[in-house]
Amino acid sequence: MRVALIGQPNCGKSTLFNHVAGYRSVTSNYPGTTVRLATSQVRLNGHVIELVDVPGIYSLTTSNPAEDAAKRLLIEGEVDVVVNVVDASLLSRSLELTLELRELGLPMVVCLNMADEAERKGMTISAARLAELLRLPVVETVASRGLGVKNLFTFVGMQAGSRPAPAPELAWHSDVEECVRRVETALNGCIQARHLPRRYYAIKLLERDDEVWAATPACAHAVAEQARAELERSHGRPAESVIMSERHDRSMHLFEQVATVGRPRPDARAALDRLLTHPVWGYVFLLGILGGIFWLVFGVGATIETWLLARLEAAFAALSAALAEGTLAFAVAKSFWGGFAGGAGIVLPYLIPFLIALALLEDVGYLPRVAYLTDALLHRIGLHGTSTLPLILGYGCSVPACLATRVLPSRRDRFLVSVLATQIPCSARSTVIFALVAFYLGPGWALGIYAFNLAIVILSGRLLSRLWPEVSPGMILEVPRYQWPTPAVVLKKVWLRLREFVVVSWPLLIGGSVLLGLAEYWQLDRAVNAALAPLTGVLGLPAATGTTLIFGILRKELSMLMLVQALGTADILSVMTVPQILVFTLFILFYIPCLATITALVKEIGARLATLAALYSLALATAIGVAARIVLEALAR
Amino acid sequence: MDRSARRPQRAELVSLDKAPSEHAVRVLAVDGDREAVRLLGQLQIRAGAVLRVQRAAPLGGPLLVECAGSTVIVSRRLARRVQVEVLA
Repeated sequence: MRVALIGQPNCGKSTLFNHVAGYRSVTSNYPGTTVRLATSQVRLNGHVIELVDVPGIYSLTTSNPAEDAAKRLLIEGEVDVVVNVVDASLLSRSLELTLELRELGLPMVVCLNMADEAERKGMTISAARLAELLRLPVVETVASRGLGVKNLFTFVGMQAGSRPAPAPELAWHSDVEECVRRVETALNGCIQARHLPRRYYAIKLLERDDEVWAATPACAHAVAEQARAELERSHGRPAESVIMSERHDRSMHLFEQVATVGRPRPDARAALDRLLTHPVWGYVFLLGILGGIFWLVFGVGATIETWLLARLEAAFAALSAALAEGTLAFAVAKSFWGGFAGGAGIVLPYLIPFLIALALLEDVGYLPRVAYLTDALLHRIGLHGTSTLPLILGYGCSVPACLATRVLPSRRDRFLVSVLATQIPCSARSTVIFALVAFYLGPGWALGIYAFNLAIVILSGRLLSRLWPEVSPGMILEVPRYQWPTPAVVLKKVWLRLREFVVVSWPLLIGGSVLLGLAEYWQLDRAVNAALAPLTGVLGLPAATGTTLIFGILRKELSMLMLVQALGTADILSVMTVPQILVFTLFILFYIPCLATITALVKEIGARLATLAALYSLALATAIGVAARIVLEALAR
Repeated sequence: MDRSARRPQRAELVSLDKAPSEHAVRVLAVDGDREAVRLLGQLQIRAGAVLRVQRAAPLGGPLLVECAGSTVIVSRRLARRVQVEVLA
């Protein structure tokens, strides 16, 4: 049995999914966290269920690829039971989607989630009365604490195969119903072998849904156009607006029947929000929070790194005592240990504190406030505040950042933000900044690299937005309530993101290190370095850095680790000058994204635009590298 | 301009971006293309809805609008398309 969790953004679908399936879907306290379907096989109340976590939608008329994925799942008949997750504290609004889902005629259970938030707002909701009016089972839950979840899935098992019964209370005004009926009649005999009710198609034709319009025969279009014109004439506004109003009207009617609103409990979150979105204090806190994270990541990371590297070096010295230097066995052992130590001693100490900080920001619900505060700034580069979320995610990893662009409404915005997100220093590139620039030249230089990167990202945005001017209508984003992050959820989320590094990148890093060790042992790296000599030459880098740039395409941090391997010393300053270290870091920062990111880019914006993005980054990195070389060498004289 | 310093006139008709903060306003009409109307409508910013502008971000940034129990960030460009009357 396939069960889909469908609801408006940020209503707790992923929290419910994770409660049932274990933490497999990243949850955050902002709309649009889920951008693709997440599935899991679970055994509940004796039923084997394939549970699907679906991106949030406000209605079945969609505007971005994430919403399209949700709609397709429902329309293509791949669902046995729909669990409509509803934020009880936003009941009247949420019921509009419930009514629209009901039009699909699929087996359905309503999950009245966040009942505790509704109580806090002073709302009392009668789930029994709502079930009676909707002719559907309604189950109250608090998914974050697992309350009511078992009961919910008992109803899911019972509901399989049974379609919603007609509900007279939900009928629209007679003139609108008459128009729907007329289009339904026109569709009679036109639509064959469709599993959805004709009423659904009739309503979507009245709403002029492009997809349904293209999928239905022309014989119904004339009648639909006539009915649309009639509605527009009698109501004085477009037909889709009339349909929206009908759903709104029925939702309000239902709300009034089932809910009473009393005095809300005093809530300190409103005062906190006034402070964090204040025209002056808001920015002070924003800078303080982002700066605090930088120093936390650097401070904690550097302390752990120093401690860990000292122990790893001592361990290798003890282990390699039995091996003779210069032998193949020594070369393999040394490079294997180099890769292992690189992951353990350099990447993990910085990655873990950063991912914890990012998870906390996400779960508290601060990121949409960041979008609000930064929208005006992003407008200067032709983007919106909603782009802040993917860009901030870019500081963690470019892959989820590219995936997060799915919530952006236009292809142009998705392309621009994807390209800019790949220029943001991800945790791997931050490792290079920390381990190379901060470690050898000092944290001030590292901060300078971040500031320079931001300036280039802004300039890049301006340039790209001139080449592809903006057409989107502007930002509209729901602001979630602040929530206390749950330590267990934060740790699980950090592990989910870290797991990819541990199970994919770390072994790759060790393998790459061994490969380079062997190439060096057999002196094959010289051929690669010779081929890349024109590039390293123009950048003023040692020829030995050529191979490290190739490894950097696999994973950015490999460049740093391979640099130690290629130069044959961990004391980089003894073989590279300060300008060379800075030029190398800047080139690594901007040149072709890693393989995983390129794959994500191809998936999100297509192969052609992804190739363009990669070429653009290579040209940009070379230009910045050469310019930096000229300036730094002139300053060094 | 200090938005909160403005006092509404009787049944003042303005676009949402010009509405005084912390005052209830009723939406009279939403202009613009279908997409803009739909985006605003799905977050309950539609004809007849009662809203309250909480505050506006500086430098022409977006508005924070309270609507149907939730808070929504609305860009100025979209807000200009929403015609409202300020309720006394």
